[in-house]
Amino acid sequence: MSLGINRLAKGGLIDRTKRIGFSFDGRQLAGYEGDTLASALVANHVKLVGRSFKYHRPRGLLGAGAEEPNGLVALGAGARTEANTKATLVELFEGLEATSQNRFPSLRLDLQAMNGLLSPFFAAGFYYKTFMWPRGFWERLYEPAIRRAAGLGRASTAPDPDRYEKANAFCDVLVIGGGPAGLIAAHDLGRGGARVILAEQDFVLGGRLLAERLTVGDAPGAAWAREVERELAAMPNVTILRRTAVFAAYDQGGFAAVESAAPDAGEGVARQTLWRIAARASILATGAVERPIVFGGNDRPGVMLASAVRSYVNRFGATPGWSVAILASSDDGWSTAADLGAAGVPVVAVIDRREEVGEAVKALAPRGTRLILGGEVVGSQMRRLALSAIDVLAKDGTRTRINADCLAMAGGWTPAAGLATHLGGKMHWSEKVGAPVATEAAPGMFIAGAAAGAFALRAALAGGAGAAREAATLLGLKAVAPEVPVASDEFGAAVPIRLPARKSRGPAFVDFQNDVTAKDIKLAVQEGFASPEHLKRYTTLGMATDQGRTSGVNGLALLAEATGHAMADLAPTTARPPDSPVAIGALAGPRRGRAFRSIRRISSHCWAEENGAVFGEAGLWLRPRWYARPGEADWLTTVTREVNAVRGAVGVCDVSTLGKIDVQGPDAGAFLDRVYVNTFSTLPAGKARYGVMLREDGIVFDDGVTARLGEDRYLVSTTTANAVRVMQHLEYCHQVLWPGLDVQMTSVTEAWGQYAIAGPRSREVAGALFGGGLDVSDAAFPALTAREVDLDGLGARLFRVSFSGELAYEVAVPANFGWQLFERILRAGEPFGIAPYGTEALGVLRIERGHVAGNEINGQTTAGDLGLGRMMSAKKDFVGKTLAQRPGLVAADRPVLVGVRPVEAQERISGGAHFLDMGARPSLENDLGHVTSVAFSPSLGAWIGLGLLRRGRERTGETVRAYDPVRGRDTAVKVVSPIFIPERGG
Amino acid sequence: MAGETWTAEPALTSGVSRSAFTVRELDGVRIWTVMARAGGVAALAERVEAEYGLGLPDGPRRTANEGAALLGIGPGKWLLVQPDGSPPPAGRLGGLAALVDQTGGFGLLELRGEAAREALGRTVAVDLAPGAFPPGSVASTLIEDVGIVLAALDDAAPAYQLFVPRSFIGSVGEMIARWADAGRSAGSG
Repeated sequence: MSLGINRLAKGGLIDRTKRIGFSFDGRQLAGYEGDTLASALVANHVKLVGRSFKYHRPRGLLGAGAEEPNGLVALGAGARTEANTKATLVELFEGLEATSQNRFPSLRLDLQAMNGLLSPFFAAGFYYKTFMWPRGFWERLYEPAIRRAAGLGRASTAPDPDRYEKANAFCDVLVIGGGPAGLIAAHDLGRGGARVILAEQDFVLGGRLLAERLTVGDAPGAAWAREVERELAAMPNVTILRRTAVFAAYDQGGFAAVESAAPDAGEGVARQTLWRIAARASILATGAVERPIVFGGNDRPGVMLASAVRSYVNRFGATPGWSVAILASSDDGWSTAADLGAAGVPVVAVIDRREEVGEAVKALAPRGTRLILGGEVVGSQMRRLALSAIDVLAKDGTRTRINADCLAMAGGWTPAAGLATHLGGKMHWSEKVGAPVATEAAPGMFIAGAAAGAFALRAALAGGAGAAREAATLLGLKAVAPEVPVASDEFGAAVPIRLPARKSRGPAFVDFQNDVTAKDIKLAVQEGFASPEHLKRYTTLGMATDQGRTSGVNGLALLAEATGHAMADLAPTTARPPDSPVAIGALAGPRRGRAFRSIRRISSHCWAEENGAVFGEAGLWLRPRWYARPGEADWLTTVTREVNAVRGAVGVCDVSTLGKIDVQGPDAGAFLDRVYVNTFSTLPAGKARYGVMLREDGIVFDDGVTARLGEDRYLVSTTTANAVRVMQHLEYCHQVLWPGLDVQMTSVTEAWGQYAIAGPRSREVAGALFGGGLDVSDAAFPALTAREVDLDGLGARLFRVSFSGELAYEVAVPANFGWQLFERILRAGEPFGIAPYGTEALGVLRIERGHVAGNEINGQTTAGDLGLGRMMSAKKDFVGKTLAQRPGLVAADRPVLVGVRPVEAQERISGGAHFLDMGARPSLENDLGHVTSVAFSPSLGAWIGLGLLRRGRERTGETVRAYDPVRGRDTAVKVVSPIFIPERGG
Repeated sequence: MAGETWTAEPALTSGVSRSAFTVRELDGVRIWTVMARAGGVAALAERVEAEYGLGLPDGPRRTANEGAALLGIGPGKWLLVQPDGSPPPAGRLGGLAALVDQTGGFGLLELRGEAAREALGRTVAVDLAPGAFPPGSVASTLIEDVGIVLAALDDAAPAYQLFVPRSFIGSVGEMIARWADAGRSAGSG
């Protein structure tokens, strides 16, 4: 196992006493605690980390942080594989397995690299232009081939074994970014007593202070950051979230962030937590990203951002090379030379495009370094898939090849303020900053530090303190006099954009992740895609997961040059959430698989589970579909037995899931008259009535039996599926349409356990249940009676309502006694052969009786369609009445409810089968409607169905086709009355 | 079935005992929804004061004494919680409000302990910080996807009541067990 030949002898914020073993593409390597995967790879002289997306070019690390476009790896193995992870953000841990991506069969030998040779053909717009013709080839040939080659990384197909959580947090001020500006802002606000959340993507606070040899006050930057962190941690009003990326800003101070667990957090700890943070104000201190320089061959492994070189050397004690050249366009780049010199790493040359550079700046380069002012890098050489030399064009036109295994590019800095534009704010070019800046942040958001273009440390600290002061003022919080420590004000100047040298050789990359070159941009402009938004879509510039962090501004500069515009005239494309990639697992959180939604259980759930129930979902409810008994071969046998029990003896069904709404008040009757098509104000107390509600547009909304329990009190019942919607509808009607009515309502669905006892022997069961305490005879308790009754001292409700056509009662008790009632009914019914029945039998019973349910009340049918037209009162107004009279809704040829039976008794009908005239060709024009519900009717010994058939009532007795091409059925059916069996006692 | 007695069934069938906070289902209480008649809030408030010695909350607040608790859950709408066996509200508030017995409709859970504040605080989209949700505060909110009524009690140590729809209590029990097992998941602050 290698300890890392590129590891410097000393220095860096790593713990050299804690060695960590890991593997990359199966090679066993080691790093130290404090390393990222990227820095450990650098230390181990691993130059090649991936293949580019389109051309499969060999790539090394470009950056050292969130901006990294090349170093995307798969972490872990098997079900835990996490694809497309930035190696620069992965905290090294013992046993980490990382694998490179987008190569086959191996990283060093990648067959698709021949795409690179064909690159002249793969330029922007290639796919749009090439695969146009012949048309028929698209589906069979082009698309499958493109799909095979497309995509980056491979997700595991196995279920993710890890935990994900969601959490809420609230604060006065959310400080995003734990660099110098964020730290000082959080510190000032924290000392003032504000509730502060400080979110930092890295696992260490400090930002660039960790990567630069800068001092704050008289302490090294990293030490100052540690001290501030220690003080913050001691403040009870401050929460520090490390490893937390804030990825979206929403209205009213809402933010979304993903927190990753520490790699050693252990079993059971959520791997990621999705935070929803509500902040009264926020400070965006997300820093800046250095720009690469666009020249031919700028993507060779070993060509790196200068800031990344400083990160690896200063923070991690690892050097990306042993003969480093620097390509600068500002003083800032020269600090890299100084840092390398201090670390003992040879600097072979500093090339600066500027012809004049101050003596103090020149002195930053180690003595003896070759200085080329007014020069360009115009090409690069590669040996063994890594940079070996650069070609330099001096200002006098001479070309020189300089051997170098690393080139540090300092192209100037771009503020990383994408979050500022999530709420519609725009970025505008700033000459002063030399980059676009957010000119109007979201309400309550203050931008500070490098994110605001304050690149020099002293300015960043002052900006952080200033933002804290502004946030405190906005919130009326105590402002603490800021103590801005003394710090460097070097390297803050704007840097002009460097365009590729005209004599540059080889593809000059602008967007490394999406393989967009300078030539692609020129081509796009030639073809008319000359606005930033068009350019982005045509070339995919900035559309990769790095969101154009390193490419956006260079792309704009090339566009400006090609179109003759000034930078200020070109609006940068809009950054949208997520600011950084978020795993789907984090968005799903713990709600997956069976926990995707909560479950509602009926009070007889446990009994049902133990007695063969097969459950089905009805909304969130789990309802028994049937109760299989030992020896029953299939569901049809079971359901037939249950139906026969109801028709022949007695059955019991848990109907607690039906919606129940208690409506009270002097105007309750008047209110119900307005929401139902039929009249309820005339219903006597103690009676129930079937009611139908329409939507505003005249279509049937819901139905159910509503009882009048007292003079001013009704109990509305709804279907299970519409319980919530009906409640919302009634509240809307009361609060918005008729607020003057004195009516009060609340849902009592949860409050009652209710059971239907149905069948010819149900009266005997009810009698036994009430033990003679109540006369349930037809004379004393006729059909549609609804009364509050006493059941062994408990306040209960008894209804004579039937869904099956059989004699039936529904009995209800408070739900906290619901299970005991079910158990009592079973005992009372035992002598009569009572059988619990599920929703399938319930369906058969209602189809046999021609009762409509959700299949018929499907959002398209009117009361008239369903044979309920005569219920619509002419004497009063009600919701939906006017629009129910629209010509289309009263047309004579509408599909209406019918019953159907196969002509050949043993044949089956399909639900969903379409009605056609006998002999008619199956086509949309010939379609006459469809079968809505089917069941095997044990009572008739045949399959029966309900359906919606054009002019159906006029066609009773005729034969039509029920055509089902999906199941391959084509059945001749006879149109009959939807009521298949007569009412028997109700 | 004559002569048989009834026993109120707890909503929460599986215990949540391994937690860093205590969870208990309150029994021996009855719960009503109280809704004022149109324009009748003032009269109702007067009657409540006289009958219960309690102020009628005019917002999402909870007032309580030994005999009853009232929680504001919407305009003109309250939950009334009384010990089982005390005189029901029909005789005390009758005529001034619509009263609906909801005892069977809720599992009433009480969560206690500093960890309860933390676990609940992470879950509900309500700021539970002491200053933001002081004792006596009420919120109609969600835990994950379940609509509940949440109340902070008048105790020095963090304690909350959750009115959970009875059919959801199994799912809510699983959620609470999950929070309790997890403690703080990944939080480093």
